[in-house]
Formats: sequence, structure tokens, C-alpha cells
Amino acid sequence: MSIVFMIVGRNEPLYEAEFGLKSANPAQRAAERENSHLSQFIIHSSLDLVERKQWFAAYPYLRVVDKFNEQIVSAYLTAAGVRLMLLHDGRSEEGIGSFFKDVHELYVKHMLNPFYRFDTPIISPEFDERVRALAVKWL
Amino acid sequence: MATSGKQHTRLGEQAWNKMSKVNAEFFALTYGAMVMQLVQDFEDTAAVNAQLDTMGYNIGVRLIDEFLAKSGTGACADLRDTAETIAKVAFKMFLGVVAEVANWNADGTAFSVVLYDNPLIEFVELPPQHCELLYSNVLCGVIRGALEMVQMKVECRFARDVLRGDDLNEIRVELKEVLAEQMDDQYFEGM
Amino acid sequence: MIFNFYIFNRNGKCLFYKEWNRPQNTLQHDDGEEKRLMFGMLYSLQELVGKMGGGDGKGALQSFTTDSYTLNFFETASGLRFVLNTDNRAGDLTAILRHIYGNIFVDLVVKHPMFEPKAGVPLQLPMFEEELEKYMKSLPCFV
Repeated sequence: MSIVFMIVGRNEPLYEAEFGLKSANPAQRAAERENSHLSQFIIHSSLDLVERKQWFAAYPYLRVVDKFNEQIVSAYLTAAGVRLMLLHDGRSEEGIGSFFKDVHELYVKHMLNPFYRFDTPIISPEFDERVRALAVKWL
Repeated sequence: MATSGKQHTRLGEQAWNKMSKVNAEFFALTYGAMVMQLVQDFEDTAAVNAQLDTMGYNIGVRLIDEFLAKSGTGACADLRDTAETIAKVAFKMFLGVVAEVANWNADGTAFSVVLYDNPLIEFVELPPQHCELLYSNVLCGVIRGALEMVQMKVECRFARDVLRGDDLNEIRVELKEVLAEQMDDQYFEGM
Repeated sequence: MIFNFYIFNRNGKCLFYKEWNRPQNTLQHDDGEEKRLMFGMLYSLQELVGKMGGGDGKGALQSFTTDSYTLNFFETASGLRFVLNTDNRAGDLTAILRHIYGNIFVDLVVKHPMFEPKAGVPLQLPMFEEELEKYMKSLPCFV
């Protein structure tokens, strides 16, 4: 089971990464990819829950906002309304918290790049690489 | 040479301590916003590079007086002295970083200022469509403008740029001519 | 006592002139001519002083004294020339000229957005004049 991470801006997803497509078996990997559409769907549908939860959960790390079968959605909300979403199968809450915090920092640094405009998709390979490194470290 | 190099470093430190400071992030962001505006206004990358150079030139022709007055350096003895002064005193004084002088040509008329740490490019990552942009080209203009005010006509360009994948920043400075004193027209009346 | 003060640029344009005490002025009818003569004289004098001193002679001329006044001179590497005429009791004014350059001129003229370093246009900057006036009057040798 892979982990899906997504940064969602005000109107659209800005960044998406999938960690741990581990299966050696190509057929199984194909199945996992098939699943990733489902994952996106789950994340999108839990955005509404984030909106509802932001008013009474601890800010900015909202912790678990949604569950779907075995899968869990954790969320983190930045002050500018950008949401960090993680779909997983029950990782430690602390680890996820640290991951969100570090990605948030990375995101803030990326915002300082004059060539990046707020609320547009993040295409930088360096950003991607760093997020993946953080995933290895914390998840 | 070694001792004079040390003296330049010391002068640079002193000048740096005297200058009023500005927040580095604010500075980098302000510069970034300005470059972005140029990129949006001009579209053509060569035009943006030229514009940055011109802005730098206009800064340089002013900055020279501030530099001379506050750093306490007088007229330079030769181009080697000039090069060291730019790298060790001027860069330290205005940007807080020390540069190295390297790659002299055989005639001693061209050198490189090597900058390991460039405060302008903090946070910056060039997107592929702007890979020809000389993001810090303003620095070339500043050097050109400042040297022109002390009667040295130079050509100045970015030879290596960290943002474009090089391991360091190198500004190539080539002395073209030493300008002669030129009197204003009013002194030639009736001659 | 301080008499008057000139700033010339590299090409000999007079950027600024101010007088405080000038009991007699034989060139009153044409102050453009006077500035031109002043710069021309300094220029030739610098050349001569430099040649007599050997080497490139830069910075050799600091002041000269006549029976009735002392001319204090300071040239920057950027080609600005500051000239301050005083009586003969004012003493060494090099530090004062440097202060005018480094603290008043640089801060209030060079950093002024409307100042064009290469244009050679006479300065019309009230802030600079005010500050200069204040500084001059604070000097013990002013009167």
C-alpha cells in the first residue's frame, strides 16, 4: 500500500507525490497505480472535512480528518489556506506531523523564489526531491 | 601581494561594520520582485539582461562616491589593486560577502571576480524557460559604472553562474581603456 | 573666517557655489567666468605640482596661502573637486572637506534620486544646502 501526498491550493492541487510503490511484480504495480486514482478521489472528498474541522481542531496540524476503509487522511492547513494532505494506512501521528512541518517549511522557501507565483502548480524537480527525502525520513 | 591582500580584507571588514544593514531576505525578495517585473515587461531575455546591466550602471556611477567616502580607499595604484579592492572591500561593504580575484590574462588587463556566495540568489531557482537569464547581471553594471567614474572603461559579463548550473559565480572584467580627463566645452571657447 | 565654497565635477563644471563672507569681489560681473578661472587655475596648478613632486602627483595639492586668504582643496578618486576659501587663521581643513564629501555630499546629493552623476548640472537640492549651511556655521573657524 503506497502513501499519497498532495498539496492543494485554493482552487487546484499544486503538487502530488506518491511514496513507496514497492511491489516488484509489474502487475501489482499496475494495480497500485490504478489505486492512485482512487487515492486522489479520497483526498479530494476529504477536503470538505478539512474545511469543517479547521474551526475546532488544533491548528495548523489537523491530524486525521477522514477514514476510508483501511485508509486514513491526515491534513495540515497553512495560514494562507493551502492544505497539505496525506493518504496513508496508519502511520504514526508524530511522524506525519514532523513531515508536514518540514514540508511546510520547504513550501515557504519555495514561495520565496521570485519565479514562483502563489497558488500555481509546483514543478521544481528540486522541491520534489526534497519532499521525497523528507518522506523517507519521517514516514 | 599577500600583505596587501590582508589589508584589503581589513578595510572591507571596517567598511562593512560602518554600513547600515538591511534584512537579507527582504533584500533578496525585493531584488527578485524587480527582476520578475522586468521579465514580465520585456519577455525577451536578452533585453532583460541588458536592462539589469543598465540599472546596475546607474547604481554604480553613484555608488562609487559612497564607496570612496566610506571605505577610506584612495586612488588605486594599478589594476591589480583595483581588482582586490572590488573583491575584498566593495563586495564586503555592500553585500557582506568576500569575493576572490582569479584568472588574470597574460597582459594583466582582464580578471575574474569569483563569488562563492551571492546574496541576490538566495531562494532563486531558474525555471527552464528562463535559462538564458543572467539573474544577477545588475552586479556587472555596478562594476562597470563605478569603474567608469574613476576613468576606467571596462567590459563586464557573467562568465559562470550558479543559477545556470555552474559551481560558482564568476564575473569577468576586461579593461578596455583608461579614459583621459576631458574638459567641459566652456574651457575651449576662443581657442 | 570662511569665505566661499565650490564643488566642481571632473570636467570642470561647477556643481555648487556658496559664499558666506566676501568683502570684495572683482569678478562680480561674471560669475561663470570666475568659476572657470578658478577651475582652470586649480587644474594647471595640480599638473604643475604633480610634475614637480614626481610620480603621478595625485592628491599632492591640499592648500595654498596668499596674503589675504587660504584655499583648501580636496579631490576624490571619482574626480570631484571641493574648494573652500578661508582666511589665514582657519587652520588645516582637510578633515572638514572630507566630512563634507563623505557625510553631507554622499548622503544628500549622491543618494538623491534626482541627482545625475554624469550630467554636470548645478545642484538644486535644498536639503543639501541646509545641511551644509548648518555644518559650516557650527565650525569654530566660521566667523
